[in-house]
Amino acid sequence: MFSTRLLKQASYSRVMIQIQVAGMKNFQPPPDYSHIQLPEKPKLQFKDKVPTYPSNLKPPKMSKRLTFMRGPEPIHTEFIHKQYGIVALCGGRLHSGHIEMIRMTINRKMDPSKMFAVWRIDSPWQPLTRKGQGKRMGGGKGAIDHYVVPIKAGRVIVELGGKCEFEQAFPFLKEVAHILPFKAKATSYELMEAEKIEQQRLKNANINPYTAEYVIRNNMGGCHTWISPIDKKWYFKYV
Amino acid sequence: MSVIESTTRLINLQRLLKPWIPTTTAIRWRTRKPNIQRPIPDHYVKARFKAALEPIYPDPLMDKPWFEKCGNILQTKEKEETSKYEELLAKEFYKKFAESQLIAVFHENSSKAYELLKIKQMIHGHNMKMVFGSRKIATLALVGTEFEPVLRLHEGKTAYLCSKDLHVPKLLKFVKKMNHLVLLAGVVQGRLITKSQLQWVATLPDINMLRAELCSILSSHTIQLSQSLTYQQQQLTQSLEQLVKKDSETSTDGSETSADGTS
Repeated sequence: MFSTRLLKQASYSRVMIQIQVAGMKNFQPPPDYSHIQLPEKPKLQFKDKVPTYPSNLKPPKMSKRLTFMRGPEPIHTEFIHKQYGIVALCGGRLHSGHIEMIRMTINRKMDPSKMFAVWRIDSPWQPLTRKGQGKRMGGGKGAIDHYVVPIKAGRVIVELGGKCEFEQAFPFLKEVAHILPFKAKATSYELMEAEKIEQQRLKNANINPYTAEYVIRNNMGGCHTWISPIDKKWYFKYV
Repeated sequence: MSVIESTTRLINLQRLLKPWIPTTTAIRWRTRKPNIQRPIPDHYVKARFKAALEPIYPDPLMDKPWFEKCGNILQTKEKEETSKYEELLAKEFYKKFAESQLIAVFHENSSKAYELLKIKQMIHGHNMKMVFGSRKIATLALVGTEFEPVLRLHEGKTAYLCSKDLHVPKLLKFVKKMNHLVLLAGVVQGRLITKSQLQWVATLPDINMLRAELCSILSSHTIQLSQSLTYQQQQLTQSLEQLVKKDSETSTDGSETSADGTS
């Protein structure tokens, strides 16, 4: 009586057993990387923190120039090597600390025998000035504190290529993208192409006859009284 | 009535024609630098505009038939991928079928490998082979060929016994010894027949004898025709032969009597 009750309890318990079955395997040949050539220096190169000026030239100070961060990136939006990389989703600035972080993380995590990485941004060139801590207003513009690279939304920051799959590169590229001071993502060329197709499809499927472009171009609702000049260019998409 | 109407009209006109003093106020706006990463929330008018300008997508299920609208009714099976090895196995499978004159179709119950070994030993040397194949491989091999009807029997584990000779009694004798295999049907010279038909085929004599019988049946009419055409001539020749025989007998008798001297 006692023994059967125990057996019943045992039958109700859920034990996950992995049964190994000999089945027909379909091993596909490995992907062909014969068209990919690895460069001599696969790792990311060091970038100067300060731009070099001729010795007679005083390093010029510069205004804030937020226009360098505003709006979409018109040129550097595609991958040259058509593989993987990090793309900025929002505008921002990268200083030498960020650049060093990107360089060290990628150089450490990648496999130089199979992968190579390439910078797609300039070295820091825009001077940012700072006044001393606790100083009062006035007394001219502050001294140059550090240099930055302004980034626009959609810009490619770093490209990674080589004899590897996206799944191999994605973990550390994602890590780097998350640490950047602006929204960024790690993607591949195929994903970007698919996204473009999807955007076009959504645009065509939209049955709302009123789009931001149409409304702004036709000054509907008298919106020209309150929209910004950039809204006439980018139609509410960018700040 | 008309007096009331005209007075209301006057009052409305007065409302419209009231002097309107235009006022202007200076608004301090766009003087803050925009924060690109943490933009300020849109003001009410802009937010209203943006809400109205949001894209509207039609319901993808609107014009679809009921069996596509109510989800998960149509279960689409994933397309099975065939590897090169499976294609090779299928080719071998078909080759064995094509080369054999007699195939027995069995349902395979579970058995031990030792029993299979005994079967293989039994059929060894009799130009027979046990053929095993999964449903996937059998379909690959036989679809579009003359053996396609055999696939209708391939439910569950199915085994085939392919014989290059057309000796059905021998096959049935072997089948009796196979305990775990259940005979379903047979394929005799590319023709699928039932189990009872197969047993009847076993009672028939040798194929060559049957072929000779068939030839004789086919030629019986021509033989009859030729016989009937040549009947008169044959009778004539027969009677002439008989006559010749008689004459030869009497002539010998005559020669004997002449020797004696009297006719």
